[in-house]
Amino acid sequence: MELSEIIQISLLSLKVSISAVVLSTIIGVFLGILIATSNFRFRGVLVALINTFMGTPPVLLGLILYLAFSRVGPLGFLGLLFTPEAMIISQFLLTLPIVIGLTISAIESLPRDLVEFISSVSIKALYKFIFLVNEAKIGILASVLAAFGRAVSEVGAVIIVGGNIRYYTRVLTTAIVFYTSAGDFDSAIILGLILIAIYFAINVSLLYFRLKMGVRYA
Amino acid sequence: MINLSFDWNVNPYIIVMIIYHNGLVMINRKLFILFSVIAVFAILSIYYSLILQGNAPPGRVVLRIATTTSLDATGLLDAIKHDFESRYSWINVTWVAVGTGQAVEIGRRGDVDLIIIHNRDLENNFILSGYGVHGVSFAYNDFIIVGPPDDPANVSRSASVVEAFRRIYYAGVYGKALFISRGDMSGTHLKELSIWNATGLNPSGMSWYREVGQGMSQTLMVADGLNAYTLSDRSTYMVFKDKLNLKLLFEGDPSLLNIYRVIIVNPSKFPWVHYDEACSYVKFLISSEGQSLIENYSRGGVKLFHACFGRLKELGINDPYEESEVNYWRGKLSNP
Repeated sequence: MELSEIIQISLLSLKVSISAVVLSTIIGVFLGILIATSNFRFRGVLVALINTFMGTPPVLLGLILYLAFSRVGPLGFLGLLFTPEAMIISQFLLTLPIVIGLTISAIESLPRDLVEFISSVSIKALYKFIFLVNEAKIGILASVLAAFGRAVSEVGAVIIVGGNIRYYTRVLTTAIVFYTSAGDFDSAIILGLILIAIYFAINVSLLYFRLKMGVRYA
Repeated sequence: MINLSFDWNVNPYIIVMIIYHNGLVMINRKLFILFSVIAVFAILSIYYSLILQGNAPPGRVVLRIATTTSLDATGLLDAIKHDFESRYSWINVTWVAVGTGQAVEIGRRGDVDLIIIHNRDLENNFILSGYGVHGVSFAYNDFIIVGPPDDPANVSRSASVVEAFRRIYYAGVYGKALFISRGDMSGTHLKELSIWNATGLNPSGMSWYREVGQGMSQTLMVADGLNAYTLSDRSTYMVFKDKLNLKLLFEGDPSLLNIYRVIIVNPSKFPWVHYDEACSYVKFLISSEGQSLIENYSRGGVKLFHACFGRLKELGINDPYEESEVNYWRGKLSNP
């Protein structure tokens, strides 16, 4: 296997997973805080559903998205099947419940009087939102980390909607599947080590952030 | 509870001040800059992945193939892509490597331009039900029975593949052998089932008969780990041979031929199919250049496939549809 291809596969992996997690973070943190701070009738049911979707089997999601994106499917006119965009969408949907669910629990585990204080202050809702994100940032960071871990390591969804096309939709995990079935175990293990290294690098940088944040409360 | 009726009409400066002074992005200016750079990178990556279509060069037609895994895992399709694209530079050949059953299903939904599979019943069905046109066989290799080197079922002394399977069956019943089945409705699995059918024995559900539901390579690894027999296509076994204890125990029965056929997805059913490009691809496969590429393709010094365009009769297969298609493609080859 050539170095240029390894780099291309790794960059595509990062591109797909980072895009998906950025999208699910933006939407998920917003929805999570909205659900955590509001009170409506089926709130408990909704939270239970979100927590259930945190465990969606990637293969199932991939199959459903395949049927949706297929040319004869309801979203077939978009022409997204077997493209990196379809992979981003699948990982976005896979990580969204994780971000929402963990954000809800991060907000709910804040001290009760703090949440009451923020809600009692007479400021605009957006500022309240920012205050809450700020207070719960360690929990939210953990949710983003969990979401990214899920995104980079999942293989079931992207191999179905992406198709594992060389130079185009082959990411680290699907490349490992390919090289294993091609009998090239050495390449598969090298790619696996790169995957772990990428996740480790992201963990280390976030650990640094957590330490920095911890200083405020020390 | 907080009322979050959103009013976005706020002074951006105040937001920045809140973020800055409350430590959302920390008090460290360097980190703030680092975070901004990461944010810009993330936004750019979304932009590139959404606006630029991957690395597919603009203006090139993307030809899509759903293929059985063995042609991909052996690298044959890569070799064909290389030679084909040097001649037809405006076509970008891409493929998804899936099981035969899945390839047919993808073709039935019109998601690809071509399918390449190796089960004649499924292929005939695909063509007869109007989903495929101008199917033609272009390459073959064969299936083999591999198993433990000491061969407890004496498979290597069989006269035919049916006898070999019978021997495995009775050795299995007496607890002397295991058989690993693909169990995934792939071309190889369907071939295995048709052989069991010919023996008149039904191993399904027996303790020595284990279905793994995975690809050929994983199946070989499982068979190797359990010291069991399995049916494999020759090319996958050849690629894996050095990593396995399993020995080739039976080969050469005419019913073990493994013929690959390429079928164009019917453009009158799915108008978005790239029919002309698909025709060019098939023409390349069956041209003398493509056929000699397949015949001479080797990995680790072992030839993996044989070319067979127009030679099915020599292999003992009599198929009138195939012959009319061979004539059709011969005509296309002679007047381009």
